[in-house]
Amino acid sequence: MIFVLSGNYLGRLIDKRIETLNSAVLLIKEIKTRINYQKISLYEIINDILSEGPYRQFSELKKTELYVSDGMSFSDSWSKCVDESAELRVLKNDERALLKSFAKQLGASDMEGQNENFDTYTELISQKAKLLEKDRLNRVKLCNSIGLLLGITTFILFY
Amino acid sequence: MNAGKSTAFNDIIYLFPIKYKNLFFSINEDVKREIREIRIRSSKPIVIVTAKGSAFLNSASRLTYILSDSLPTVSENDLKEIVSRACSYSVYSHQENINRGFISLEGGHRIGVCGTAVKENGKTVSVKNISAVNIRFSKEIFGCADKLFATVFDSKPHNTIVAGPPLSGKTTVLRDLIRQASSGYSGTYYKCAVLDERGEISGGGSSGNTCRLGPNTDVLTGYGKAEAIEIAVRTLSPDIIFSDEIADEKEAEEILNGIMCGVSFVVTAHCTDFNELCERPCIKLLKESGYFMNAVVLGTGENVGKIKNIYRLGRGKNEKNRYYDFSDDFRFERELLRKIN
Repeated sequence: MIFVLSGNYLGRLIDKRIETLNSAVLLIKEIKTRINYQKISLYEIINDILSEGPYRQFSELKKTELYVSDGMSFSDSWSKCVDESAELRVLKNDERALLKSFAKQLGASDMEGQNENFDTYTELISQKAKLLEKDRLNRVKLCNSIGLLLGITTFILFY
Repeated sequence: MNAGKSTAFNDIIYLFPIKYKNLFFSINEDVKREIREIRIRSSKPIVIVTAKGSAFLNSASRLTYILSDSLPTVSENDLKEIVSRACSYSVYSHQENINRGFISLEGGHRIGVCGTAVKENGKTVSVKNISAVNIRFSKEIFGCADKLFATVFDSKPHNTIVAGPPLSGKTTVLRDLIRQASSGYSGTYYKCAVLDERGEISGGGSSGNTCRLGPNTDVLTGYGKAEAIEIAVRTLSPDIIFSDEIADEKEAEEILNGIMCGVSFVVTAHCTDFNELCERPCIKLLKESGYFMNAVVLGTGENVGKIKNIYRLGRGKNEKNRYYDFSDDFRFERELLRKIN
């Protein structure tokens, strides 16, 4: 029973990670579109986007501008916001590292460089989410199977 | 009256990464007020330009004329960071200006950018491997154009060329002249149009124009000169058009077209002296048209922004060029300063 419950809980955690990664991909695509069509300042774009509902997990990133004004570089500020975000703690270290390294080139090059950066990280994070999706089924099945097996074994032993 | 160099210095301090901030913050306030340029080159010492010339910044935040290995340098990555900060981390939105070699900052300050041009079909589409930046300070000095104003506006606005070498204060003087003309200093609130291709005259930035150019001034920022003249003449009905850095004959032709529409022009041009000024094809065109009354040459160094000579250009081939030598003013001021000190 415990294993079955653990399996369900693990499944929910993985679901949350997948949801966050997919939201990150959508966020990157939206930033890309706005930069290409609006060519306005990055801070304006980030503040605009993060004020909307679908990206609430990334709302902590609005503080990037604040840390930059204190003297930190943009990528360091972004990394700090990712680390401080409670919603993003659901992600593993390697997944957070992807989000952080995306910011290294953000706003620091011409349009072509920006689009390459967006495409690279859209692909990397999407692949992460797909692998996780596949992995999720296997892990939940495994937990449920172990739980069932243990349950049957216990029943046989005591009854 | 004087907006103050120290304020200008504080305008740009945000450009520097944390590790250099203290170095610049700790510069003596009097020195900060005198700084005209900060030149930063990858892996080379930081050069500070004042009226006395170029000096290096040492690790004690003092200026030194001695080159040594112990002078602080800026790495390539930090230089890239400075450029990113100057663009508010939106380099893509400043790409057009970067391709032309500059970034405009709030307050009219300008950063000159050196790097490797990436060309496509003969046109620069990008700049990579930025190797150096030159931060030029802009400032407002109210009253610096008093003498020039009296020359240009003795009865009505006259077409005038304001010339001088780099760092002679042409833009600063032009700025004050615009303010005075627009603010009715001659008894008339002249309708002034400013062709501000790089946002230097008006201090154009995301929060609008930050320099005070008077209540009756329209600013065309970012337009090419020819285009801007056409727009100004057709839609703004200006009394006077002010333009910075006239560079080629095409611009000179557009200016003459504008003059024939009844508009007066005050333009600036680079040169070291009057003879060199007259050799420039675009200036030759303006001079020979007979429409330009005055050519004013500004001083440099300790006489920055001060009129060195005024040349009356006048109309017609037979009229001789007469000039007024103001260099005696410099001698008088130097003697006065010596007495005070």
